[in-house]
Order: sequence, then structure tokens, then C-alpha cells
Amino acid sequence: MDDPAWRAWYDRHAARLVFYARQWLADRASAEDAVQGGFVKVWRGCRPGETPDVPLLYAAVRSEALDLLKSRARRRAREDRAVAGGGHAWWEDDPLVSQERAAAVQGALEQLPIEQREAIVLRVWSGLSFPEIARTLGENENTVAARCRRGLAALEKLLPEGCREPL
Amino acid sequence: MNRFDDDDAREEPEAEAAEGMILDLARLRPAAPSLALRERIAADLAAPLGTATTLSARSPTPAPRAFAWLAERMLWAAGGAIVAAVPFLIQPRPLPADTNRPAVAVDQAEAAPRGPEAPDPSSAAPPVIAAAPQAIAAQPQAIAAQEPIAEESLAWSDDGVQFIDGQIPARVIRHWVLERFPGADGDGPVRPREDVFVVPVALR
Repeated sequence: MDDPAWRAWYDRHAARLVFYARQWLADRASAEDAVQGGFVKVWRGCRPGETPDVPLLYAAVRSEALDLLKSRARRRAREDRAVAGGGHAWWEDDPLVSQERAAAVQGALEQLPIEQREAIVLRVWSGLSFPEIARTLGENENTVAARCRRGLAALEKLLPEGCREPL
Repeated sequence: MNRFDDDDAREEPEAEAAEGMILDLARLRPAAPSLALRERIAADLAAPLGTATTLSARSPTPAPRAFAWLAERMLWAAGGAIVAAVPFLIQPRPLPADTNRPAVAVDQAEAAPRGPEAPDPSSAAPPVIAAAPQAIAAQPQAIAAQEPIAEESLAWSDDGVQFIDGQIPARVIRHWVLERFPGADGDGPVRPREDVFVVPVALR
């Protein structure tokens, strides 16, 4: 199956999906495994000419990430390898963005509860609307909106003083 | 559109601030995945259904099947059960009931007269009890008023825990005794007696 459609679709969503999976999985390799599993499952379920439902894809990646997280032995081995091979930053290198600020945002995000963090990631970096986030997480729309709002408020407080101004 | 669904007008500024923060944070772009991920997905999509997925190059071990762990444990459990059953399988079988019967009971049963409906002593269980009523039938009713001169333990039976009146748990143990009464020739009639011991128990 060499459908160019999936490649274009992959190019548009892959980085966001991996970033989303990294909210549960510490290293990039495990997050990519989760994306691979979820992407292949969802894409195989599509009819020819169709593109996957975005919330369904995120939900599939989430499920794969949680499965990987449960397999402790594999996770430990991967984390050991990740430590040995050096970590990967969450963000793309951008000369217009301060590295200090990027690291601060990552550090603050990691301190948030996972429910708030995944809502923020889906809203901010995946660009999903609240109804789409609600479908992804299987939650009420108002619930995910409230989580996002509370998470953003907490995130702002967690950011160091010098990193609160706009990027 | 207010994405936070705030109906309260007082929260409008807060929602606008949140939108501003979202736009600000979105300037940070997630790192691109490795180039190998695209190739792995391409390989998976090209492979027929049911083929194991190729995980990251750093973890070539395929994902375990969902019930692999259960199958492995079931095999261990089955092996343990077989090992536990071996001693019972190789244990010599008990002798037939006739050979286990106490000698005195056999003698009495054979000496007693049998009616047409009398059970075969060799097929009765417990054998001593089946034989004893016939011995009694041959004796005069007078022995009921006499005291036995000797008792011989024949068999014990543990009936397990039973509920007395359906409420009180108790362990029921039965003991069959052969009472021997004085006779003219020194070897008088015999009579079986059944003692039932009821021991209250506490179930945990």
C-alpha cells in the first residue's frame, strides 16, 4: 500500500501526534512507537480515498501510549536507552524563541496533572477544538474546556518570572 | 467565538487572556519525529494484515500478544497439577472390600441366616455395618437388655462439616463399634453400634 495520501497526512500530523504521545512516554522512541501503532490502525480502517477522523487518531495514539506505559519492563528498557542515547527536546529549534523560555514551558507542563496537560497539548499544539478534544478523550466538552482553562492558569503561575512575557 | 464556553461576562477577559496565551504557546513547535518513523509506518501499511508491526529500531522486540502472559501461566499451572497428581496415580489401589473387612464381622455375617432379600455382604458399604443387622436378626431380643462384655472398633467415618438445623456448622464423625454380649459358649451374640460425634466448628 503506497498511498501518497497517507504521507501528506502524516507530514501534517506526525510531529503533533508524537508530541501528544510524549505526555505519557518519556522518550521519543516510545512516543514514536505509540504513534506508529495508532496511525497504522486508524489508517488501515479507512476506506480508499478517505482520511482518518482526527480525534479518533489522537484517541488511538493515546491508547497505544497508555498500553506502552503499562508494560513496565519495556518502558524501563526504553528509558535506559533514552538516557544512554541522550534525551530529545520537546520543541523544534527556533532562533526566534528563547531556549530558556522553551525549557521553562516544558518544565511547567511536566508539573501539570496529566488531565490538564493533555487538554492543553491537544488545544494548543494539536489545534483541536473543544468538541474534538472531548471526542478524543471521551469526556464532556465543558469538562475539557475547564481542564484547559485551569491548566493554562496553573501553567502561567508555574512559569518563572522572566518567562511569562510573550515569546 | 469564546472557546471556553464561559457564559458569564465577567470571565470574558480571562478567556481572552487564555486565548492569547494559547497563541503565544503555539509558537513553540513540537520537534519533528525521526525519519525512520515514516518508513516504519510505510512498511506496516504495506504489510498484510496480521503481520507484526516493526517497532523502533532501538527496540526490535515485537509487542507481546495480549494473552501470552496468561497462556504461559496456564502452562505452569497445568504442569504443577500433573506433578501433584503423579503420587495419586502411582499409589497402589486399595484391596477389594471383602479383604478389608474385619475378621469378626465376616464370621458373623457368614454365620447369619440370609433371607431372600438379604444384601450380598461383599457389595455392601461399609461392609461391617451391612453384615451386622443379619447377625442381630439371628439373636434373641433379650440381648437388648444386656450389657456388652466387649467392644470392638470397626470403622470411623468423617462426614465433614454439616449444618445442624441448617444453621450451626458442625463436623460429623461416625464410629461403628461391634458389641459382644455374653453367651453360653463364651462367644456370644454381637450387635453393631453407631456413635455419632457432632463437633461444632467455626467457619472462617
